[in-house]
Amino acid sequence: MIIGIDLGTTNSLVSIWRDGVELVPNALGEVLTPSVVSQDRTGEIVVGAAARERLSTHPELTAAAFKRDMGTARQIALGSRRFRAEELSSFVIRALRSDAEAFLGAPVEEAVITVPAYFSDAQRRATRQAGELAGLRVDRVLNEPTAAALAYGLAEPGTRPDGPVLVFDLGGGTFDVSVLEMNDGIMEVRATAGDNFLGGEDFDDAIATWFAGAAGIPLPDPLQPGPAGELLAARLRRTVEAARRRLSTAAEAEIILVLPDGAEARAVLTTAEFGRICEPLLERLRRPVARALADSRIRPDALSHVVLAGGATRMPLVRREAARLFGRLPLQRLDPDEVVARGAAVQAGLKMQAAALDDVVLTDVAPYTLGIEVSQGSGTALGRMLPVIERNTVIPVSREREVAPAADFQRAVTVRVFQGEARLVRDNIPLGEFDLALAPRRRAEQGIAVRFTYDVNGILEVSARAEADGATNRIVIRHGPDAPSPEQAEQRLAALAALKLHPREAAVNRLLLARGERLFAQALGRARTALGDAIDAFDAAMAAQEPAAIAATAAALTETMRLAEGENMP
Amino acid sequence: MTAEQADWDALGLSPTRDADAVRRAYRARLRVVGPDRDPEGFQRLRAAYDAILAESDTAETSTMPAGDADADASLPRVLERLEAHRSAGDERGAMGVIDTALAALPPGSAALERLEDALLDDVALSRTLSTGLFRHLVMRFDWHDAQGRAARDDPERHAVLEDRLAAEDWLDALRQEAATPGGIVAAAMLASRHGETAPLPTGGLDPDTRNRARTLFGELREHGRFLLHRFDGASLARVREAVEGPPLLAEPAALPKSPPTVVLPDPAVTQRRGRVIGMVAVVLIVGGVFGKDYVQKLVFPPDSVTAPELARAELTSPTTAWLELSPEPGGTLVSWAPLIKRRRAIADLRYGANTDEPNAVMTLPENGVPLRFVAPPDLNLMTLRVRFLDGTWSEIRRYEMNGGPSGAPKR
Repeated sequence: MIIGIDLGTTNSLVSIWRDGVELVPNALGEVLTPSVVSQDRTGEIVVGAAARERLSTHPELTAAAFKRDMGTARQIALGSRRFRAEELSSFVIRALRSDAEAFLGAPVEEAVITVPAYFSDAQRRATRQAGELAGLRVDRVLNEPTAAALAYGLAEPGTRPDGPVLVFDLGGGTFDVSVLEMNDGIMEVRATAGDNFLGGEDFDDAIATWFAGAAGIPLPDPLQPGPAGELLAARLRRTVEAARRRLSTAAEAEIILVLPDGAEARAVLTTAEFGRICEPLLERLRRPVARALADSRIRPDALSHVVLAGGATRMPLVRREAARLFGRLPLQRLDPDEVVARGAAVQAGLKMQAAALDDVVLTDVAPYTLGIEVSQGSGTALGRMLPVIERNTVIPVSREREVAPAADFQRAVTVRVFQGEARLVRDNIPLGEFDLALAPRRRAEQGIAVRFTYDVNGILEVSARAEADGATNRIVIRHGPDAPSPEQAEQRLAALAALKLHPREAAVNRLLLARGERLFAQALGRARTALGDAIDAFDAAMAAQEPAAIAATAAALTETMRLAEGENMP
Repeated sequence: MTAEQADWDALGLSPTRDADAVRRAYRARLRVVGPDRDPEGFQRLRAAYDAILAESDTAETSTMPAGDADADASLPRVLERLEAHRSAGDERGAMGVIDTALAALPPGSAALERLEDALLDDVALSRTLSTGLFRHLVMRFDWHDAQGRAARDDPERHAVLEDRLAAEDWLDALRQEAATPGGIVAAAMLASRHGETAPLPTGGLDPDTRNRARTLFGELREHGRFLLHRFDGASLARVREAVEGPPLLAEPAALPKSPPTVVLPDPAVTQRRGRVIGMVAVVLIVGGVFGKDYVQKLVFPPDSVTAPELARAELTSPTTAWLELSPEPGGTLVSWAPLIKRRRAIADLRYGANTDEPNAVMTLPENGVPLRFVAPPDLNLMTLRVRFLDGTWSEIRRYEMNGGPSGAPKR
């Protein structure tokens, strides 16, 4: 069985294809699992809702939104341990995998994982590695907006979109736009563009910054330890997020933050004010849309549908902006939180050659231009990018370009491979380089053929061949400069495997405990004492593993929490 | 079988002009050789499809209908308001005009493309465009994108735009360098005529600093057509003098065996000439700076080069002036434009200042920087001679300025 995984910045989902799309619930019965990882005091890893609660009580042991660091060398600390983003992601995938195994009653070894369409080469490799670290074979790295289109394309004829369709996918941390041509189950991606640093989390940041100004408090620094630093920042983030959700239905939302000294900072955010502070973010939605449309050569008024995907498109503000950009109401028949995971299940079904999907064919494109560095004009100064595979070329593809050495009788050339849309390579991203030895000749007789081969998963192979003597050299760009060596990867795999994930069965109790701890941290006076006692009793019962005691103390804690929340909880 | 026939066979179709039929055939074949099922076969199919579509190139563009007339009517108004803000020196207001116009037009629409084209043609390359507004336009219209619409539609225009971007970036970098402790050369180059001048060490510059200055001057020349008018000529001359020493350096070049003949000049004249020649050399480096007050507006790309054969014919024609002279309040304005325009015919250019023997070497700028200068009062005569590509030397031309040399024989 191949599972589909939507590995999101804020939430992740797992789905399967069994004569249709099914979303797999986690141990709490929910299909959305927060992409948050925490380490508890026993050293076990907690993933999901319980970890999310721990963001505001144990920020130093908890990590969120690490998808934004995929493909970088950044190390994120959980207590004394440090992890790369793909390692933290592998914990989330492990949790999703065990949810799927529990749901199917059978082991799962293969997966389709979605990535933002605008993810770079390094980010895709990191995502693939996250799957492998979780013990899965990654059959396909699928673009999220393409997945959304797959989900819509599978709807019954008559309700499914046909013709040119634009997918507007604003997730927790990334923004993608894809323009597709859909015809009777055949889906051709024409163009894709995006912004890897624009998503729902940025709207929360904007509100938090506004709130600090409006309430006259310094913006708490999540990098500073202590109650006025990371703890307060985490609580502010939580409060702000709740306010953003309230604004989806209400005209205003009050934000109250209890400061470490017990004082309260307050401010009321109206939808109008929210619109104003988010304007710079909304403005950034425009450029990827313009690029995707221009590259697809389809006019906005020729689009048959605009499809919304990604949780952040629930915001009325974003929907309004989308409607304004296209002069029409977007389609949102499928839940934007689930649509990508549904598409991942369809791709998994395609991989398993499900009979019902016989008619479905998907072609996708390369999101970035890939090329090599060449010298500029007749001079010898290097620095120009020569595109070999232009962005939005349909993949898989193999292209060749003829180049020549810069000087007569040159003994070698260095082929440097870059990704990006700038004219000069210094503004693009280096992917790798290799040398090709030459038998010295005059320039005119020294043709060099550089060939780029790009597969459906975005793996790039570059080879260069000297025409005169047939000498060749090649590299397969699987690992960027920041990626660990195979030996290091092996060691990390062993180290990660040794880390235990919290058992699924305990998920409900873990969540209850984490919520209790969060309320305890915020509560005052009598309620705080009562909560502390109830948490201790529940913790002791769990440690002793006595089912009856666990049930009883859990009920008591739930009741105490209810009272405390009613009393003085903001 | 021809390659073309092979393409049609790959699609399973007999040749047709019907683009829809081609598309349908491609889709039908996709079900058999999809990218997942048969990656190799798919690539062959796709290559055939692309080749056939490229052949009937109208197929793609025909899906782009023209925009609505309403938006068209707004275009001149937008440009007018932009012009009003620009001539009032109101950069923020001009940016606001752009933002408002953008907000009113859907991305990818024909009306927006017309606005973009109008801005590219008339505004983006205008020399009077402020840096802030230029950068704002670049950002809002995504002109950084080397594969974008602006670049696809008119690669040459976009290349000029990229050159300007590079020039602005270079100037920013120069300003940053000027702010660092080691950036004395940069600071001195940027000093304004009336502002306080950055101190250059009186004991002369160390070799590294000298080399840095030479590099910077070279780069300035490269970006000259976008930047020279923002520099103060006197400041540049000061830096140049600190680097290369006091003026007498326009080396009387290694003389060719054929004419011009060697004449030993009178020492008294040499001294004066040295000064004048030095002035001219500074002017050559600082380009249009001295003449900037007279430069109305440069239209880019300013450089129309005449092909070598025609240029030679024109240069040998007595009716073609090699220098353009026009009287200005401060003295005669001398422009090298006629020679620059015909530079492809010129292998070598020699000039003489206040002498009948044009022996000093002059390098014409490759990038077409409009070189001109105001002749100082003591420069009365310039003589010029060129060597053509085939090695033959031209006659010597004489140009008198500031009333001409007193007592010198006139033509």
